[in-house]
Amino acid sequence: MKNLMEQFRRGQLTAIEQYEIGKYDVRLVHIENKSHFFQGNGWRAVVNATSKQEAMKMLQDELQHIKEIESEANDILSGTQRDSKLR
Amino acid sequence: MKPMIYFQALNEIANFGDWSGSYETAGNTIDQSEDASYLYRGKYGLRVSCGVDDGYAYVYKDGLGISVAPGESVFLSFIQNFASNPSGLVYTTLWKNNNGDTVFVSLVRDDGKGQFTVVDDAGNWNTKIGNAVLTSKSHWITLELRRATSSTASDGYGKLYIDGVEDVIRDGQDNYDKFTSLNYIRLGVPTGSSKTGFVIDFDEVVVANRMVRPPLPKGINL
Repeated sequence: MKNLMEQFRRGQLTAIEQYEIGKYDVRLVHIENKSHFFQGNGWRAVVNATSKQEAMKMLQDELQHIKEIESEANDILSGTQRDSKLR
Repeated sequence: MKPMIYFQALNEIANFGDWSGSYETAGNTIDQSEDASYLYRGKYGLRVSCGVDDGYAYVYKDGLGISVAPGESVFLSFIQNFASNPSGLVYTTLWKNNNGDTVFVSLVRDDGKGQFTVVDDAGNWNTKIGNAVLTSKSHWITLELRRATSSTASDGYGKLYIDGVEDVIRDGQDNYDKFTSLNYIRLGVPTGSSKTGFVIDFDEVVVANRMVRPPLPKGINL
């Protein structure tokens, strides 16, 4: 388990396929059973899905969630700061 | 009545096999580690190391499809161990409904206390800071989010339990329209606005309609 993740992080897994998902360049670098290993610029993701197509759709959804949560981050922080003062 | 378990992750299946997947950014990692496993409960747990500010390292579960009736709660329980206080606020879980709206987040503070935020129907982020210090040992953490009983009632709440005991509640929440469902959770460092310099271990994750402690093997008493 550990060795595979280390290779993954070091970028030692060769790209099987490359895609563009939204603004992201994505490389699929490894498939092991249901686990699909994707790599982008500065990020890595493992997606567990029954097919490559499903894994790509799940990754696309996840990248969209990340964009949404980044836009919420200020709301979360301002709520936190406001309530900390009230305490 | 027996609890309804919607999702469970014991973290023993390779490549985060209990989960939909994992995501990490440069300098931050999430691994299945023997060192992170909780005593007598399997071989592996999740170890999150955060070395770069504002990064991510989390697992997530999508497609939960849990319908939440008025006045009902969902409980997310897990073992959590922060070796030491983080240098700033660290987000640990994030919950979304079927529409993709965030409904709840939980955190640990730089003083080691817990914290959470309930999102209400007006889109306000309502925060509560806990009382007990969570760092330096393993704790059985439970987060409860309750949906308000009607569209005019403000009786929803968020609650943090530590080792089965209520630590803090944020009540008076009008979240009737927002918390109709739970479809998605993240665990680890889920928001990209956490601060560096910490390691967290998680294990034995359960989403249920009640607080659930995982059973121990026969003959073991903790």
